[in-house]
Amino acid sequence: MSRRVQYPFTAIVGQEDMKNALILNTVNPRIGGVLIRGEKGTAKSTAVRALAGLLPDRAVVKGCQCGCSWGDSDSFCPDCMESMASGTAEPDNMSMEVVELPLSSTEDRVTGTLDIEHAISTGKKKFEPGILAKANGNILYVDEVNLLDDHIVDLLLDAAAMGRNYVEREGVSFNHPSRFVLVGTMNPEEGDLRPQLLDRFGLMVDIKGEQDESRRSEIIRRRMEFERDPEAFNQKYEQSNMELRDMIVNARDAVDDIIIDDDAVTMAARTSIHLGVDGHRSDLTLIKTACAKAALEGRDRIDPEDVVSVSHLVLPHRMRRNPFQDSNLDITSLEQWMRSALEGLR
Amino acid sequence: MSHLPLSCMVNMDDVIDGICCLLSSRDVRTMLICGPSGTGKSVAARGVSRLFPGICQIEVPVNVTLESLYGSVDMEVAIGTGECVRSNSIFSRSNGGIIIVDNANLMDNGTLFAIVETVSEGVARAEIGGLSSDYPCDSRLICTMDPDEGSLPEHILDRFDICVFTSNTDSEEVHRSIMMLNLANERDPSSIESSVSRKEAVLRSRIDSARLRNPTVPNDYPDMISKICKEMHVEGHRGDVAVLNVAIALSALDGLDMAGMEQLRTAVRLCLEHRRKDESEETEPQQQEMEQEQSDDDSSDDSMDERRDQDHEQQQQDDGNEQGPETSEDSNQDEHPDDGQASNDDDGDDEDDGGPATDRVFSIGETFDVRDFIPPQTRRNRNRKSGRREKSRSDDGSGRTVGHRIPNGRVRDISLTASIRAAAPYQSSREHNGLAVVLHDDDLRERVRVKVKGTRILFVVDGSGSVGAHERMVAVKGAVLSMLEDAYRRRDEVGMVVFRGETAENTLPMTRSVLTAYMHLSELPTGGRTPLLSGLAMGYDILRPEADAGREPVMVVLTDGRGNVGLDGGKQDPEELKRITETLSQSGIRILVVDTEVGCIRFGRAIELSKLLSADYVVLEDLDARSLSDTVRSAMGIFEV
Repeated sequence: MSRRVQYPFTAIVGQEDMKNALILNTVNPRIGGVLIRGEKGTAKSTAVRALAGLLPDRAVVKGCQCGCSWGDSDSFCPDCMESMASGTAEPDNMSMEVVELPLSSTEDRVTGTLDIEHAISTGKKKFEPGILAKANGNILYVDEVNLLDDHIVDLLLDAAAMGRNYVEREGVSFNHPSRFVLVGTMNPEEGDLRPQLLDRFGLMVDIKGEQDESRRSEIIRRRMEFERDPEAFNQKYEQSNMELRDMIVNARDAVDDIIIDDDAVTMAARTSIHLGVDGHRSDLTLIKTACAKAALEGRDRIDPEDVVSVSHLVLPHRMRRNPFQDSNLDITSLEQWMRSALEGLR
Repeated sequence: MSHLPLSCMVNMDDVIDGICCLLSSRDVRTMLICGPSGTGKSVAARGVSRLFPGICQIEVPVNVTLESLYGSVDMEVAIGTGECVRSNSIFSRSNGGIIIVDNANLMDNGTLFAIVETVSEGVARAEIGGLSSDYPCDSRLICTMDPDEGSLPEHILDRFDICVFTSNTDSEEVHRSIMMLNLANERDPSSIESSVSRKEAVLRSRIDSARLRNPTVPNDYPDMISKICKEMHVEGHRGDVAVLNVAIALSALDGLDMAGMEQLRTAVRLCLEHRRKDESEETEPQQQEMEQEQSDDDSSDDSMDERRDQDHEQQQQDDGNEQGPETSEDSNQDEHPDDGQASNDDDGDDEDDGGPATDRVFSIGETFDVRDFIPPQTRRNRNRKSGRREKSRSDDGSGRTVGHRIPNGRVRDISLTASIRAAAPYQSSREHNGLAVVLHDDDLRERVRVKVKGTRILFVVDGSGSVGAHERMVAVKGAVLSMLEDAYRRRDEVGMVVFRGETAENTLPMTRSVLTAYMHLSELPTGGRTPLLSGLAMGYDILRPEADAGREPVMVVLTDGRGNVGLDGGKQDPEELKRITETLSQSGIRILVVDTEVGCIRFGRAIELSKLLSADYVVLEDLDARSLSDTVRSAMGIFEV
């Protein structure tokens, strides 16, 4: 079966915040994913699916159903442990994927379960991996994440917290790494997201339909062109997509060597304290995101200014002690506060 | 990336102490870590395996089944030989090791209870999966939970020897060092390896040497412990025993030959916070008493207490501030985004001294007060267990599978795996006809599922002139908001009916989007006469389908009860009142009347109304009072009764 041709990422008009947030996550998957909130038909799903075309390769254990990362032997699944010990394991290169978690997924399909066919035909137990295994090392995409069943959300939270999926049911006991970049989209009019799940998203962007008329018509023109001949349309953007991909690959190599200015750390700490956010995820995400941004721009260090420049992606959804705030309004006043705090640091 | 080392964690003294007790003492077995997300609960729990690399650590997912915990008939062996052998269960594997449950409050309560009970008894005993289980399980248990995601019932809480709280901190230094540590560990663990391994070694030897030590217990210890427990209104005696064991364990960790006073003080903090029944003031005198009795003060511990006191004061100050006139809040708005919201709400009204209720409800925010006011289930349905936010059995094939049962009648939701396992022992004696596994009717098992059900809550709000007077509307909105905030966390569905002037209006259809509800509330106008009956009638119409389905929705009526307009727009007719209230009281809708009346002369109509409706009754002020006195507890994470 041939893969459906995706709309190319670089052909998406506008929505810079969303595109940036997605790219930053591919540069450093530890940023923790992105939640995209916005109206219907604002290219949310298109952008996430198009991301697949930009993703770099990663080294995996050949044939592993759980996508164990080659070289990360601490977190191998039991099967890879075995093959590693017996010396039969081999490395393989696979491109990162976008794995979708459909809303209708059952618990068994998410965590994996006993392979019933195998059990019936052989009488032996075998683990059949689920979506959390497929998502390992990849991007886990949940469309309309706010409509996901509560007990499925619990499983996601669990896996996200541990970076590992533990299955202890149906007589099967199995665990495997499950580190994924969580990307969710939602339309806030259809209900809120649980605060704990909200906090698991590294970044959040609020998007709106394009208001500028000429850009709106540009969107229509490109869409028409794509639908007429997807292949040709993709070829037209091949060049820019490849350039972006190279940028991401280079930034990935550089991101762990970015020098972190001491004042940047102070800035992140002060901001989190000022906002009274829960825990320490926001501080860390501010720094990691700033590093990823610097790496993309080809710089080798970050300063407090960088922390301020990513705050509108990192902080809006964490200012949640009061769920009824208009986050746009707040982010403006927050940025003002950060600017003045910046002066204080100098 | 390896887990962060326990010994390097900052601002986690209680957590580390608790884990040390767990690892060094034979009598301290179970521990719960509570705190907001991102404060290092799970990281701390996982630090154990880094500290003692050989230790068997089993992480139990929230969707674990009882059969996996206790073990069930091993399918492979049964099919092969027809023998019933126990499969490798979690409890038997964890023997001598440690069990970790993250998000314990998301787990089925029965399952969680089985884990806590087994670990604290040290024996796995059950009749599950076609087997009798009765084998030793000498394990330790660490559970984590975020109180925002729900609470645990008291009988489960009481079985945790230790409960510690992680908290947010305002210290820039702490924030900075946590960031540095995390970044270093993520980028290049080897860069911090030497300092880490030194610290880990110190902690390890502290635990190892404590295992060999057995401090004696001072004679006055039992008396003191029982006195403290009594003063803190601790029910039962598990708390007493836990305090004693933890105090001994802490003393051993500190290298003492006799259990000390300082250690007892810490033990009280670790063991009784989750067991106390009453407000925290009670403990203060006791603490002081103990401070006097002891001769040598450990300074670090003192500073801990000081910090707590400061927190406490800070909180009270905050409360004070928020009760101030609105003007001061406006000037604060830029500094405190949290407060900005509250003043927005006030904008809809023209008052400035009614601020307290609105603001307090908002800023304290934990809004656990609301929970107490959801009326109990009606008598008719008491056994149906379909209450608010209970994880209840679900029959419609949705929800999480927690186990299997022999079906009663026709099988609807078959569990193939359980059925195969049930049939496994008989395979060797059955006629196969070319099939690998033969199932008979009586092998079939169906799934048992549970589902957390949100409740439908309809607010019926009196928007008449009498509520508008004395700025009562501010308080009313505050009360509704605090309940909305609670509903937001619990994924309840909320709706709102407002009655004023001539008639009632369904201003907010049932929704899960609390943001929408908030928008409507802030725009809510006040004034005119009081068509109470129309409000009640409309509420009844909206909730009736739910009630008829046996789901027991909740109606919260906020009014002074002084209705003066009938259904037809004329005067309120007593007969009509009687008819409507009677219908409502028998409808299966749980009703709460919140009395908004204020002033020197009170008519007491709301309480009459609540009697007519067989409803629960509460005065608005009591909602407030409660949330105030609960400030400390809610800050610590309160637990459902």
